[in-house]
Parts: sequence; C-alpha cells; structure tokens
Amino acid sequence: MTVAEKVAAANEKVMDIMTNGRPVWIDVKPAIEAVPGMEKNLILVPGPTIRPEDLPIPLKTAVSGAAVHDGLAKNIDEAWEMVMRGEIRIAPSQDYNCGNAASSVMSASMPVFVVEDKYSGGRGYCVPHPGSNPRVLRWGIYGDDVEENLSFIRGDYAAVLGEAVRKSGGIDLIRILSKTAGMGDENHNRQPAASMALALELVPWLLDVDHPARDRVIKEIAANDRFFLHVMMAGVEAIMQSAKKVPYSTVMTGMGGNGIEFGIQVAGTGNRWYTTKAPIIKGIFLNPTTTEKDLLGYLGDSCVTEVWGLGGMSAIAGPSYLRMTGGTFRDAKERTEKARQVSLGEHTFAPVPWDDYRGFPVGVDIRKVVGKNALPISHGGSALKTGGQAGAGAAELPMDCFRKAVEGLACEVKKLEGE
Amino acid sequence: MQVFVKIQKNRYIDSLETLQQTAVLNEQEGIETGYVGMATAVFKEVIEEIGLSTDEIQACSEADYVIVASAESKEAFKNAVKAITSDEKKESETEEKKYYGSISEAVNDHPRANLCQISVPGEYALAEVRKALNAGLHCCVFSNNVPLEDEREMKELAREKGLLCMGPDCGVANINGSALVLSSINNRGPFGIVGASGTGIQHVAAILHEAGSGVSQTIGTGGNDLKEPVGGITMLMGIDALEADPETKYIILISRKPADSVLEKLLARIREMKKPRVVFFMGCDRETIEETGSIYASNLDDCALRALEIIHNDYSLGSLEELKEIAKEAVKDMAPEQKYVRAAYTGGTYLDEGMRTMWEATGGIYSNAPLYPEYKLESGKEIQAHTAIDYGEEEFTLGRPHPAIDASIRKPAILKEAADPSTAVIILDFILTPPGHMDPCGYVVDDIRKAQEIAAERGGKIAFIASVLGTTADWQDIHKQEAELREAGVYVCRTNYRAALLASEIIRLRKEIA
Amino acid sequence: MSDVSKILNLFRSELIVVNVGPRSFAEVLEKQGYEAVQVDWKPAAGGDKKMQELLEYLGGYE
Repeated sequence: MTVAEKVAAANEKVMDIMTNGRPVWIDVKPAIEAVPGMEKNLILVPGPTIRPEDLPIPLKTAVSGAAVHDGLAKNIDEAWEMVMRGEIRIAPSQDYNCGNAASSVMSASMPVFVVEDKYSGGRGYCVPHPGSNPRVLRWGIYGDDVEENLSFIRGDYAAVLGEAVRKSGGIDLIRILSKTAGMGDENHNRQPAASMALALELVPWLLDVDHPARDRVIKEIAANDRFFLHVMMAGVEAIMQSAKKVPYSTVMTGMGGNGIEFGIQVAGTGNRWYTTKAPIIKGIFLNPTTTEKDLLGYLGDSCVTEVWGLGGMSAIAGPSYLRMTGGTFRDAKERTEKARQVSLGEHTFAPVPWDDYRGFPVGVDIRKVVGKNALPISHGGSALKTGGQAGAGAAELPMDCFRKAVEGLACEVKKLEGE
Repeated sequence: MQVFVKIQKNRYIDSLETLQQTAVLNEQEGIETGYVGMATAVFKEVIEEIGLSTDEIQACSEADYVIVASAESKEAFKNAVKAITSDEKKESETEEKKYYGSISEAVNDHPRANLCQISVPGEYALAEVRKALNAGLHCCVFSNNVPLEDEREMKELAREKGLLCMGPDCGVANINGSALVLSSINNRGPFGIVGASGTGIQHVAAILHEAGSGVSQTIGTGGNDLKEPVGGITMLMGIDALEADPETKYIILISRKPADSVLEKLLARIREMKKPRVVFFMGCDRETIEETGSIYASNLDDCALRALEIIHNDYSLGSLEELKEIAKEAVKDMAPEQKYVRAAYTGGTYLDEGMRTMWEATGGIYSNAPLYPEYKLESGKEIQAHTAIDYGEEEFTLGRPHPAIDASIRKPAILKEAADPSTAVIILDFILTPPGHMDPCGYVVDDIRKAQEIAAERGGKIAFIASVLGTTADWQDIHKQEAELREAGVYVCRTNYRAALLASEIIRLRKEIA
Repeated sequence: MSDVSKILNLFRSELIVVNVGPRSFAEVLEKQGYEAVQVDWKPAAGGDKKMQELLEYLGGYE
C-alpha cells in the first residue's frame, strides 16, 4: 500500500470510530480509582504540556486549591511550593483521556464521570460541572466557599449521582443528542436542552436512591443547564481514546488551551501536542468594562466536544449562541460550512432541520485545514487573566498548530515507512 | 498625505477583483494613490515603486489581502475601504450562489458538469487538471508557464481517459457555442477549428462569423502542443473528434510550424482525413500541405478566405489598392523626422504576423520578442528605430491578467510612442471577449487624440492604424469599437495583416519622400 | 485513431462548466447562457512549498 492509501485507510478507521461511537455514561468514581495512570500527587490540567511556573494565575490557583482539597497541602501557598519542588506533578488531562473545562483541574480524590464508548471500548473522564455560581475552581477561584462546594461534590453529590447512574445501567449520550436535535443547542457553549433531557433520564433513578442528600443533588442538577457539557466531554474522550490509537491517521483527536498555549492532537501521533500561542476568544463580556487586554488566551479542554463535531463545528445547530456573541444566523451557517470543508464525515444522529436536515460535520482532517488554508472556528468561554469568567465567543483555531501537526505526522509516517 | 494600510490575513481575492477594487479605491475622495491586492512579490514591488510600502505589508505572505493608500486622513481611508468592501457585501447579500473550495466538491453537487476551465498559476495547473480529468471533466486550461513535462503528463492522462485537454495556455476555445476563456462570441456553423494559436482561431472564426458563416466547435490546443515533448496529442485528438462530429462539415487547422517529428505524424493523420480542410501551418510550404490533400493557406486572412471559398462565399477583406490610397492620405501632414513604425500589440501571434508583413518595407523591426535575436530589445520599455512590442509578454503581465482583460497594461504605450518625434505610425490591436474590457477602444481614444495634439504641436501627424478582433455578437460589438476609433482619426483595418500592409505602404512612401 | 466518444458526448450535451479561477470567467459564461459552477481556487497551503510537499506525501487533501 502507498502512504496515501495507508493514510486513507487509517482515516476511514478513525471516522468509523468517531461516527459510530456510542458514549454511555456508566459511573461516577474518584479519579484515583477510575483514571488509569492517575496518582495521588498528580493534578491534571487543561491544554497542552506546560511547566508549572508557566501556568497562568487562574490555573495556579486551581492547581493549588485542588492540592489543598486533596489534603496534599495545608494552604495554597504551601501547595504551590510543593508544585514548584516537583512534589506535586501536573500533566495535560487529555493525555489521560480526561477533559478539564476552562480552569478546571482534576486531582486524585475528585469524583469523575466515567463514560464508555460501547462501540470502540474506550473510556473517558471528566469532573462534574460545579453549577452556575461564578466562584468556582472551574474559573480559577479558590476559597472556603469553593472548598465547601468541592467537598459536597466529592461526598454526597458523587455518592448519590453515582448510585443513580449505576442503577440506570448507563445513560446513552447519543440518545440525548438525538432527542434534542433541532432544539437549538450547539452542545459546547449552549446545552440547556441536552441538560434537561439528561436530567429527565436521571431523575427517576435519582428518586430511587436512598440518601439524605438526594433531594439537594436533584435540585443541583435541575438548576444546572450546563450539566451535560462535562458528561459529554468524558464521552468525547472515551471515543478519542480509541481514535488516538490509529497510526497514519490525519484526523484531529484532541485540542485545548491552558491560557498561554493552545494545542491540538492528531490520531496518528497519539498524545503528541502541536502547540502555539493561545488565541483570544472574541465575543461578548459579562462585565462591560472588561477589554480584550484583560483576557487570557484560550483556556480549557471543553473544546474536545468540537473535535467530535459539536460547538462551533455545528454552529448552525445553535444559532442563538452566535446571536449572543455578536453573529448572525448566516454566520452560523457559514461557520458550519467552513467546518464541512475541512471535515471527513458527518454525524447522522442529530440532523438539523434548518440545515436541510444535515448532521454535524465531524473529523477535522489536518491536511484539509493546511491545504485549503481554512480554519475551523471553536466556541468557548473566555477567562480573565486574574481568574473568573470574562465572557463567551469564538476563536479561529491557530493555523500554526495544524502546520506543526502536518510536519509531525509526516515525520512519524516516514519513521513507520522506514524512510 | 499619509499612508494607511488594511490587511486581512488569509483572505484570497483574485487579481481581477482587486484590480477593480483598486479602481474604486482611487476614485474615492481624499485618496491620493491606492492599491489593493494579494501581498505577492509583484504586489510588494509595485507598492514599493509607488511609495506605499510599509514593513507591515512586506511581512505579509501571498495569502494575505492588502488595501493600502496614501490618503489625506484616516477617515478618508476608512471611508474608501468601506466603499470597496460594501460593494462586495452587496453582491454576497443578493447572491445565494454557492462557491466551492475544490473541483471534487463542485462535481459532487453538479454531477452533470462536463468541462473544467482552469486558470490557476502554471505551477499548480497539473494538480488541478488531474483532479478535473479524474472527475471525468474535459479541460480547457488557460494557465500558462506550465512546464512541458507537466503538459505532457496532463495530456497523456486526458488521452488515456478519452477526454479533451485544451491547453495549457489555451486562450481560445468555443465549445457548443460558448466563448470560453478569451474567445469571441461566434455564430455556429459548419467549420470546426483546431489550433495551436488562440488568436489564430479567434481571427479565422471571427471572419467566418462576419461573413455569415460560423463554427461548430473550436479547439485550442495551447501553443506548445506541437512541440516535440508534447507530440501534438491534443491536435490529433481534436482532428479525430471533429472528423467524427456530424455537425462539423469542414475542418481548419492552425499552428506555427510544428516540430519536425510531430509534423510528420500530423501530416500522416491529415492525409487520412475525410472532410475538406484548410491548413495554415505558419512556415510550412504549399507542397507539404497540398500533398496531404488539404487546402493551403498562406496567412490567417487567407485561411479564413480559403475556408469560405469551400462554401462558395466570396467575402472580401478589402483590396491592396484601398490601402495604398489611405497611405497617401496618411503621409500628407507628417513632419520630415517621422520615419518609424511603432507597434504595441497585446499578443504574440499578431506581433509575429505584423513584423513579418512589415519586414521588407521597414528593413527590420526591434522587439522584446523579435523575429531574429539581433533585433532583441533589452526590455519592452525601449524604443529603437522600427519597434514592435508585445504587451502580452511576461515582463508586462507577470502577476496580472492578460492585456485583453486589463487594458491598462498597454495604455501607456500610446503617449510614450507619440512623445518620440520620429514616430510615423502607431499600430494597435484590440481583442473583444466576454471577460475583456467592455470598451477597449473607447478606453484609449482620449490618449490617441492627445497624441495627435502632441504631434501637431511639433508640426506633424501620426498615422494611427488599428485592427479589432471580434464579432458583432461580442458584447463590445466590433462595429461600435471600430467607429470609436475612426472618430478619433484612426485608420481602422479589417485585420491585423491589413494593418501591417498599410503601415508598410506608409513607410515606403516616407522613404520615397526622404 | 483515438476513442472520441466522450468528446462527441460533450459536443452533444448541455455545457456545464466548472470554473477554477477568477469568478468573472464563470460570470461571463452565465451571462452567455451556460451553467457555470465556481471553484474559488487558492494556492495549496497558502503557497507554502514545504507544506505542499508534506501534504502530497500524506496523500493530498481533497
């Protein structure tokens, strides 16, 4: 077989995994038990590989806070010193099939959603979404109130939710996405419909749980219209775990930012990152006095959902998100068309009625991005340099990552070919 | 005045559009000079020349779109930019038309597409032609500067697939009545043409049209088809196709002299042809052609007239005597120092024909593309004795469209030649084609009048001689174009050959007088 | 003699042109009454030769 044929066959395999993937939420467990390779003194952070000293303020706070939460240190200053001495390690979440949205981090004791791809057998993990309170570790804020919430999530919340999910026998995320097709979600930055549908599936099982905190947990879930996002991130990671094991493939399988750098991963080179300076998310601000100067670069792994065709890729499915962030219906359509130009496949489970019932484009081919000089656009929330959410909008993915990925992959293929 | 720049990274706008935008930009209030384009090396040179270069632009890649202007204020520049982009917006808002990113996407949505017209830079032509052929499309390749080995590869692939590959460097082709690339609009009729010279095909087809006949199909092979490395693949396929095509009753073949080995193969095929045919291979003698059972033509005019003879059409392009009368009239008010022909052509075929025709009368013509190396000018900007310049040469067109589309390429020639007191005759050719300038003759008549004023101030008069290649079906309308020239005092000849004959007569008379 | 059946087919069919190049070439064909499908061509990888080579090696991008 020629290299071209091998690449084509590998991409076919990856697209088979991506389009037939059937992520099912099966459990809630502490990271140390669920995530292979997780260690007590390891804290997973969003985005590509980064040295601790280079972390932006919100992530420093989140890492230190998580260390305190896990009992590794007494306070955040001590925690940070331990990080600097190497006694607490950090690593990119996606290298462990985990995703950390925004400034979220994952420590050993934190509960994670366990989602299994019933088609390929891969598993992915993500910490629960902490709710709509703006003071959360997820936006780089730590304090007594944040710790209290983290402890609740680790304790009663995880216990109740875990039992309900196990009782349900698994909740099929494809079914959720299918049911909510045409309800206006793009499922990365806007997912009230999916969160509702998910809650509807969960509540009967939750009501069967015998636990004093049961009603509080139900209220938390019912009040959180972004609940679905973190479950879906784990689902995408489950699919990508299998996709990342296909040599020769040029399909993008990971991406994320840590506020400083942005990186992508490609199926053919597994967990290798191709990075560049993190782009700024352009859009609206929650506070009108915020300016672009106050913004960190792209922060978080929630864009793994885009790797699987959600968010900006299927902007047309959630045109209201564009309206909110300063775009039009037409822009939404163009955004999806642009994604189609660089994608190898299309999902069939959630056709969009106002897009001729077409599905979400999926499977970004790095060759198409570089060759056509056409960049997919990712949706995202923006973070303040000092911590906290700044706003929401979209960013063109940086071309530099894709060019480096083409080089890296070609190099890898040459090695495999013995050239 | 201050230089302002607007850069849009990774936005590809074709030069045809940016030229139009440059024009709009320069019309705006408060703009001294402006330029719009992709930041190619050529673009950077141009703005360097006109003093608009900035570091920011120099740092751009050729994938970046740049608007630059010296303007009296930032406000003026902003408004000008808005004027350019709002035009664009209007278009995109009203048009629901879809534009594709690749041939395969286009063919997926339009499975009945059957021909691909390709005008990408030469180095990219092979890749695009391959895609088109593999998608089952016949090709008309306008791209030039395509390496010969690429041309051979695309044509061999086309032959293997039984598809027509017209070009590279195919400027003229009329398929099913359409005017592709830079063709004229022609009536349909019984003549099928295969030619290695775009101008040659267009010339003959236009005369057939004006004589009331027309063409079934015209197939441009590109100028290199009959060279050794390519071997005449397209010409041979074209002959086969027209021989088999029931709509084609007669066949016309046009080329410069083919390479020897190719000529032999070609003559063998022509010998077997069943349909009546006229062959004009510039530089081939009468016997070689007649031996194949074909009708010999001595030049492009003759080629058209011989073809018309087959259908008993006695169309005339005018007599030599008429030209002699005009010549006598033309030299009347010339000043003693007016001695030379200065020709400004938009393409190589007419340049060649003009120089050959005038060679004897002039005793030699200098050119940027001369007939003999010793008459070579360093650049097309020079003038030396009798001079003929091809404004279609790379030095004028690199990174720009063909002069038939971008009339501004040749425009400066008129006043430049007129400024020289030794200029007696200025020859101009004009080409009409759908993508071309909508009023190419009207575009230069002011300059022609101004040139005459300059000559008159010196006590002389310049003989402007022009020919227009096109038809009454062309949107520019050949009759309207010719009338505009006549009104400006230009001697309009029916063809380029006759224009050169008239110039020769004038030069002879000038020599006699001297 | 070559097989010219596909060429004769072209001559007998409605002409539908895929135009790879300036949009104006497609527009003037439409104005003449022919169907034209526009491909907005861009140089591969923004004209970057090294990327073009690597893409070619990896099987192209279309």
